[in-house]
Amino acid sequence: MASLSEPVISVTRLSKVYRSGFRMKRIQALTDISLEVERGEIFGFLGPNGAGKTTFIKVLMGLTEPTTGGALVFGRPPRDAAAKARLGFLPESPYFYDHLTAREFLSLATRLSAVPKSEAAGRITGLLRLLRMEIAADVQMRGFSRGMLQRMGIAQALVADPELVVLDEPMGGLDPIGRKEFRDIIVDLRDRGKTVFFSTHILSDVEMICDRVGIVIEGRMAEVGRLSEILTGEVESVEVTVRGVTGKTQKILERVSRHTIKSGDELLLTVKSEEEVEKIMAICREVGGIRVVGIVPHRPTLEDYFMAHVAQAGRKP
Amino acid sequence: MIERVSGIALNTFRESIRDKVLVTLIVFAVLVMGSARVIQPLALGEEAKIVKDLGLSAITLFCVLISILVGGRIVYREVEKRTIYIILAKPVRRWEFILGKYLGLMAVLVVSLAVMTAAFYAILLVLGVGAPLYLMLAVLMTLFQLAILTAVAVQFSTFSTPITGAVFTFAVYFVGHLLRDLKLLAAMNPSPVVKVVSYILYYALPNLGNFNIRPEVVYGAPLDPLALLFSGLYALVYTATLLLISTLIFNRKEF
Amino acid sequence: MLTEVTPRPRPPGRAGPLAGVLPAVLIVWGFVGAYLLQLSIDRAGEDRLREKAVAEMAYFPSGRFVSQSSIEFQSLAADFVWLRGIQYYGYHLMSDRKYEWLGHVFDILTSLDPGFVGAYHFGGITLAWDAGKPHEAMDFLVKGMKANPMNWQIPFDAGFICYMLLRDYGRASTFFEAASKMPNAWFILSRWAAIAKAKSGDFQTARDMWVDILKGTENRALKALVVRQLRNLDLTESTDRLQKAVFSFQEDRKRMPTDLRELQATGYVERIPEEPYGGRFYLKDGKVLTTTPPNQRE
Repeated sequence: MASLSEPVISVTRLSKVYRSGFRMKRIQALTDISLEVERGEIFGFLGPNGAGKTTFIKVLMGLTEPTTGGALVFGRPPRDAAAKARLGFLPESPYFYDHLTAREFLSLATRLSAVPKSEAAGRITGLLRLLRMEIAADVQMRGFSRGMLQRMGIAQALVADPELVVLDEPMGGLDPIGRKEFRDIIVDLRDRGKTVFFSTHILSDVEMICDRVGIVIEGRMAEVGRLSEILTGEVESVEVTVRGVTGKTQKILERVSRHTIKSGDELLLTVKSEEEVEKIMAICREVGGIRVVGIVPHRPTLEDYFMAHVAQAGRKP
Repeated sequence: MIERVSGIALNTFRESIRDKVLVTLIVFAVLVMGSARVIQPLALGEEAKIVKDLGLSAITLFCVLISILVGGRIVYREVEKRTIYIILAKPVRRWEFILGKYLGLMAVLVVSLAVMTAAFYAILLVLGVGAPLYLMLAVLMTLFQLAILTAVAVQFSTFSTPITGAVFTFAVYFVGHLLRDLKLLAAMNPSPVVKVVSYILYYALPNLGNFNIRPEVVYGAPLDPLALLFSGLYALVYTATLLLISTLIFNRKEF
Repeated sequence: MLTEVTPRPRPPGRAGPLAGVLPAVLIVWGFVGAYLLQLSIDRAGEDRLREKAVAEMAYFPSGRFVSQSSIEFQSLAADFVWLRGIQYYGYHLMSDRKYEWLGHVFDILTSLDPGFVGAYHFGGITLAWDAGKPHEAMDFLVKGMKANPMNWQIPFDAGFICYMLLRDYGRASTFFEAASKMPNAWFILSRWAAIAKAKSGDFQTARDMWVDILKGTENRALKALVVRQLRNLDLTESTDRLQKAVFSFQEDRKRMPTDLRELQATGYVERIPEEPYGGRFYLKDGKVLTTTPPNQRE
């Protein structure tokens, strides 16, 4: 029985190789991934499409076996029923039994999750209410929209009141309102003491709600840690906007700036350090007649970080 | 355990009972049985035998088809539609899943058998041919045969596509009825290799001929209750073995 | 709520209301054409006798083949062969009275379903009388007795053939005796055993036996066969009686009677019996003949 201080998910040097096709071509889906997910945190598993996120989650759920390395959920192997009893899973683009109504499906889920019969009905009603599915409770799921299916997905994942919730691309196909709702649900789960692990390729979702992030690119772990640690917070660049610059002055300024864009009678200069900002200010004061309209410092965002990593991975042989 | 298995079984039952293939096959079976009316004037006094043969054969054949066609998809469908991800992520053991699917499908077959048998008796009464209850023994033996055949279908369903699985299951059905002939031929063949191979096949493959008591039942000939009992046990043991094999295959399956 | 201010214009190229009719009409004509063509094909096929003969034989593939391809439905396959066999019999009864494949068909039938007693009964009798193959019929019935050791009908048929056609009274009696001991045996069988033992080969016995067969079956074709045989029996018996009278006359009067009426007038026969087929008895060269030709004694 895992104690409360032990990590909920513990993955050590996990690799997964697929063999496909007649010639048994080797596809390395995951390489040497290690990470830990602590209790009570929201962990975002971020990576571009095809990076191996779903494969990783399948290993966590016991749907696929690792080639080397291992994963433990609540300190037990993924196919252990005791581990599964404490988690809820929402797969990507979930599909359910057409012929069942929402209520019937959740009832099946309670049966499979060993939810005591006395509590089952109450839980189902509560979840339907939470996910605003009450109106459609007795409608067959074959008529459900993508958003409704996604909500049903979360509902069945929560039916056993699990300690850990694993979601694969939960925001997929949702409109902005739906995504906000999901984000709120995830945050609410964390606030109630649960641990949430979700994968996504959408940066803003991660930025908004995750405590910790794991960035995976082409099957390898690029970085794991707190967002605040990954994004150092140092000013990366400054964008200075000036107006009323003549041709000669422009050329001088262009030499200082790393990157210049002319927009109407405005000039946008990008510089890397405070000294360079000072230089520009000095030039402007000297020339006269130039108005400094704006100075905007840029701190690196996750997107910058991400794009840099992807570019770096792309440059590898 | 019971909750999980019965949950899956019930779900499988509800899903399969709405399958259009199922309804079509049941309707066809009843139509075939009804066509016995047409045969009456041509049969020269043998109507009773022909109607009973036709009815019991239709019941058997169409239920075999249901077993093969619906059974072939039973696991594949879940994998293809990925509903299985949600099921297996729950604390459901893989063998519970297989058993639940199997029991759900058997429930469908029992219902189909019941409907067809009721129609059969109705037709017998309408045609005035006589509807003794012991004819149902033939239906019972058919049920035993279906138990084995469905297990075969489920097994193929764990690793084959529906069409391939259906073809293989039908092949097992076909060969399963030829085994007696095989044994006789082997006894007459001088080569010891042929003998050994034939005997192995005879005992390894399901001997479905055990369950065909239609000739005895139609002629009202006496039946050996001990043989029937042993046939039932054979079905039980063989089915359990097949389900175990299916579980082993399914345990190793990756998604 | 939005309302359409201007009606939406019809998309260009949209067909008129009759557009759906044309394909339907074409489809109907397609089926009519296929039907007419099929009629012509069938008519052309009918003219080819060889094809017909082949077609007849094609209906009776080898027993082993039928058995194995029937998987577990051999009894049902036997039923289909039975129906086909009856068709074959009926067709040849109405046409050339040649039953070349009858034995083969019934052999396959009973190999598929050895317990099909009705097939042995009908097959045995038609083989013996209509097809004129009593020995083949006997072999067939012996096969049936082996497969159905407790059945009384088959040994009765065997005894019947021995008695009527083969004139083997000893063997007939043995069969009747054996049949009478079977469960549910017809009570009259022991009587027949005694009669056969007594070697009576008279017409009344034969007639009685045929009537027993008639009473014991619901098979219309078999009943028709019995009626035919009874008529034949009448003819034979009447011819026989007249012939005996002719010989008596000859012995007494040292000459042939001029015609049958003289026989009657002189009291050697009480009356000229009615010819069962509607013809007339007459005398020619001392032999009693009938106007009905052999092939019309149906």
